[in-house]
Amino acid sequence: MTDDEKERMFLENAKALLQDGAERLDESTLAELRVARTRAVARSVSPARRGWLWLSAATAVAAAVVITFSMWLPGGARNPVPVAGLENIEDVDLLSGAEEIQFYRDLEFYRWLDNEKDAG
Amino acid sequence: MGALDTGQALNRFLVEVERRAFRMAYIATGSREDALDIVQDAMLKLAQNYAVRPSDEWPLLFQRILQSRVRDWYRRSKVRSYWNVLVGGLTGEDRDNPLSYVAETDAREPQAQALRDGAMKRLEQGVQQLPLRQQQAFLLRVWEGLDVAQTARAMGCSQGSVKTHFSRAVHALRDMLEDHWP
Repeated sequence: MTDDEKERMFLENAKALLQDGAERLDESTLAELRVARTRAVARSVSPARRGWLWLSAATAVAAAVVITFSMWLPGGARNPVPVAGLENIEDVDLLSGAEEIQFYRDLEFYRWLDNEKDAG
Repeated sequence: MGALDTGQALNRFLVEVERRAFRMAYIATGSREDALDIVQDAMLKLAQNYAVRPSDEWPLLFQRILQSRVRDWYRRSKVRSYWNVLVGGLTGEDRDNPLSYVAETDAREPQAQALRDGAMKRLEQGVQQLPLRQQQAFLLRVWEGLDVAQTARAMGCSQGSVKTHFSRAVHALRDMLEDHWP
């Protein structure tokens, strides 16, 4: 048997013995480890983080309720409420577009030209 | 992963590692109470600081915390030991019997079990006699199955140091024990 093989056997044996010792811990030690583990797991979500989780969940639920409620209100999202002064939204485009103003100036010119033709 | 899932996964992980962690801490400290304190601290720190990390990172993070706690204990015990020598009092605390926290086994194969118990006792005493860094390198490589890079991260040292500590530990233990294996 080579020295490498001897070393490998030695290490395998050592691992098995160490594992054997770990698997045969007495009940008292195992109970204390259980308590320590339970405490640790209970703290895996900190109170502050728990607070944020609750706040996020509550906000999400409240938002869902508001949206659902507003959609089912009579005249809700299906019938938008008119905003004063903006009954005809097209007026906004008409008043703000420079091209449209030029069109109306041209229209005046064509009307005058038409009158001139009729007179002539 | 939700908070409940994380809790369940963390519990499963700790169940898997807690016995080995206790034995490692015990081999290093020689004290059941100190070993339990170290394992509890390591569990708490992992849960509080790293539970949100992916679960496949937990083994290495846990070992890093555990080995760091063992090193802290070792430094404190050294200071305490020097102080005791200075004041002329105790020169060190008695180590517990390494097998005192191993449950009695059944008597199906009493002779074979006695041989294994003897071998386990000699191995643990042998590992306890090693310098702390050699202990850590040996246990992490052989028992936890970490590779050199992972062991270096867990121990907070270079890969070269891990190789040196591990090699010295294996040679020392083979010299001490190889002729006495069951």
